[in-house]
Amino acid sequence: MKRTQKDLYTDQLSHRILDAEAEIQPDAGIAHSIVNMFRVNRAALLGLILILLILLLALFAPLVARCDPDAIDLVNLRKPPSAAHWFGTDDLGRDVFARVAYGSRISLMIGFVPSAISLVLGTALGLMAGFLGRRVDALIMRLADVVLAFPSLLLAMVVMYTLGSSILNMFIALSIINWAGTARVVRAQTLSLKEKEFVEAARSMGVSRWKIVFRHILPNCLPNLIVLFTLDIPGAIMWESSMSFLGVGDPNAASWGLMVSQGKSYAYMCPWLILAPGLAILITVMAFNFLGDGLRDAIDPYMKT
Amino acid sequence: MAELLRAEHLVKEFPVKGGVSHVVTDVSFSIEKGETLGLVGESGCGKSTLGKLLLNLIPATSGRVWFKGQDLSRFKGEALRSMRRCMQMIFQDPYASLDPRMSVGRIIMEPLDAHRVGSSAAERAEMARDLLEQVGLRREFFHRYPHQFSGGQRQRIGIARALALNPELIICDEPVSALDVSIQAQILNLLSDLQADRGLTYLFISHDLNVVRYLSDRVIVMFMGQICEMSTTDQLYEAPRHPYTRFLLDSVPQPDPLLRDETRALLTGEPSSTVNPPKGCRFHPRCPYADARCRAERPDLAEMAPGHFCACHHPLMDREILS
Amino acid sequence: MQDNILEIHNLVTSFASDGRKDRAIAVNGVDIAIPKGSTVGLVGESGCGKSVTSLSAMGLLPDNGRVESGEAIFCGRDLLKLPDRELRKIRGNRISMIFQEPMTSLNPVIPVGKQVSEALRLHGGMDKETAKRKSIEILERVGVPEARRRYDNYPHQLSGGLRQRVMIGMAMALKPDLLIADEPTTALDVSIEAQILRLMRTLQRESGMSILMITHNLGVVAEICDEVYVMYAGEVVEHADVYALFRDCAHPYTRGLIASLPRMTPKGQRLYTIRGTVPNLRAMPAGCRFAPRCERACKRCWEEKPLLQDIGNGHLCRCHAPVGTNGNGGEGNG
Repeated sequence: MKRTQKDLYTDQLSHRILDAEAEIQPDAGIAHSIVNMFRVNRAALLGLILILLILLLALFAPLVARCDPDAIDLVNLRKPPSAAHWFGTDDLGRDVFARVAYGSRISLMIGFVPSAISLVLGTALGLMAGFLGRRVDALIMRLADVVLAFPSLLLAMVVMYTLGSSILNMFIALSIINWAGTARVVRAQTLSLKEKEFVEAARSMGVSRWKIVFRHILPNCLPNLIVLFTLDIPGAIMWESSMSFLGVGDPNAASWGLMVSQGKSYAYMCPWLILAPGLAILITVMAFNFLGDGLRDAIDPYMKT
Repeated sequence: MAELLRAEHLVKEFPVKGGVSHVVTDVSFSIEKGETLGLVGESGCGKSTLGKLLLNLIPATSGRVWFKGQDLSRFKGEALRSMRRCMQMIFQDPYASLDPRMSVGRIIMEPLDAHRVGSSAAERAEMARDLLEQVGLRREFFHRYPHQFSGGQRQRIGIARALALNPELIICDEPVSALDVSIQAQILNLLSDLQADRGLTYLFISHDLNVVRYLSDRVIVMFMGQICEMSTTDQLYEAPRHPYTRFLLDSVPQPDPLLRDETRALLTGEPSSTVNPPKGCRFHPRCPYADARCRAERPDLAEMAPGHFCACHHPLMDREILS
Repeated sequence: MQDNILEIHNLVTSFASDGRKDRAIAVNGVDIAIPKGSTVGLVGESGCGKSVTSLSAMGLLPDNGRVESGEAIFCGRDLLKLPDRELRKIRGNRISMIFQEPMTSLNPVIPVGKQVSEALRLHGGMDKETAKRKSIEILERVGVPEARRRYDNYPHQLSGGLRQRVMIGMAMALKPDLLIADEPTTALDVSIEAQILRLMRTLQRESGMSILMITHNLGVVAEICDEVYVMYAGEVVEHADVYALFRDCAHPYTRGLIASLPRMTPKGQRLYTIRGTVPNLRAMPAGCRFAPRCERACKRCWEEKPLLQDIGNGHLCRCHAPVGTNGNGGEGNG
């Protein structure tokens, strides 16, 4: 008797499997879609390659640049580009190529660090605002409004003046102007994800609130955050360049922006002094923007479902 | 049969611009253990909201839900969380109800993890694989992602997740309305098999009268937040007492051209707004039998025949049903 | 044939998906004829190509879609070869379309009445006053209550049913020869659906237009259509008069579809199911496309592609072993 019961059961199972049987879609996945994007979107690929090159440049600056970037050579002041000095020399006779190569370290750091800080800060605050709602939401968002209402450059400069010109304070200033944008995006996404049926399903199963945030909401924000991060980096580099140009940067951190600023007095006579670091900024910012745009396009269709 | 769940005078009102939306108004009913109770009505009648009120997913404005003799509204926090083990939900949209970033295995394991069922993660994973098999999917699909599956297959995953905690009551909120006809039948068969296997109780919410008829032992018809008729399935479909039920049944396009009837009476007009619902019987603006009493006085749910309840001042009699 | 308002011959439509070189064939050699004054149903499950067929004929395919071959003869002219301008004229004037969600086809920032009268002015060449008077008449005709007041309402102020009525009014405003209705009642409640179907039939009777009804709902087909085309995986698998189709359907797929509807099946008895799911567009079976899901499939079905054949009285079926037409098809559970 028991046996027939079991037979019946296996019978039923096999019937169900027959019902549902079908080849399932091959795993395309987000990684696949990103790889595919690089194949189609040449600009994004170019961006990726350029970023890798710049990273290599920063990493191997001592090998690439044959001279010390701070070695002063009073004999060769403001020499145009030559075989010995590829990008010429500056007003203290320092090798501009070496300074651009070493400057990439500072500029990239200024791109990454504040973007990372504002990413973490903005995500945390955005999640809290979106998920807790009510008073927490009101408080965080009003704070963000205040930050966004100020002209960013002015705000950053005020911070720099108050705290003093150092690279650390530059990180702080840039983080302060950047977090609010991230927080807004994360909050908006949290609000929409909160209403999704899968979140409701998790609630109905008795999954705790914080588990819902970390298992469902944050992972679904992540692709957008990556895009946001890649687009924040060139922004930070630009802000730093502007501030250095205006004279509120760290005078000891030889970033590209500072080089442009220092070279501006000789712009007509020795254009290489601003062209070399200027082009470096241009290429870096463009590369990150290309990559960010490409990533966004690749991720977008995933965010719809 | 024993009563599993009882709703008493449930009310849900939402504040909206220009007043209060009366989504669910004074709804009382009970679900017996092991039965399937169908809940039909047109969009906006409050049937989905009612389902969520029962699970305490949204708080009721007033009224009580008793589950196995315990008042659910008294549970908060951790106690409510553990109460949820006994009642699960299957959702309408198989695309929105599964987290696209989670593998199928993690989706099914989520309720097991949340309630720390079993002794280890490995044991829970094994349980999830068993569940996959029970809903007709292969054990190997454990590591796949939802977007790789078709709508019907996803709905099976949703069902496996709902089964994971071995609940007594499953609220099915339009589980087949997003699926193609041939897939619908598969899922309906699966639901009734599972009920037979596990002695499940279903509250089956749907707008599809044919589907509800097939699956339900008893049926509740809702109109604008109120129950207008409640009866055993056969009685309700063969001898509806409420004019609204009658019109609804007549409106369903039947898959048989021989049943075409261009002269039959159709329901006219559109449902009124739930913000300022009509006084008296809420159906009166669209009801051909309405008189002064219907416009002034709200009919109560009254027992017309054993087990057949209807809220109408002028319930249809056999004569009218035959005509 | 002269008495067909639209004839689609051997239509093939393909879609590109990003990053792939090969194109997915969504519609594979479809032939459809719509006789003057009749309602033709195009029925199938999602992804079977029923909507793509009509969009191809109307030149409304999305950017990644392309008609590979075939023709769509409307009043002696091939719509697929017409220049865009000509096609737009026909679409506005002689062929109208309504869709499942009227909200997407109505402009959200223009009052609905104005949208109707603009259509009249654009294609009918009426002046402002006449157009307004006429469009109020039309709104009344399609059963919009208090049409004069509703004229100034924006789409979001109307219910789904009323919006669909407005859409039908707009489609009917120019007295088209053909109305293409793509799942017009799918988003609506049954009581409203019944009203809309009856309205469409009444309007058809008055104007003598033809209707192409695209739907997945066999109930709607039975209710309103004269002839039916059943599509599966991009192909027409069966074509018959509506009565013949529901009485003696010959293709196992059609038969399965009808049998899997929970109608009178008593509780506890299993519903008939078609096992499996629709095959992937890029990995179609070599033989009959339904073979992997078909209970009756034999070796020949897997190897040799069946043709659409006449099995008597113009009843077409794409099957090597059609279900016997002895009157018991469609019902029962096997």
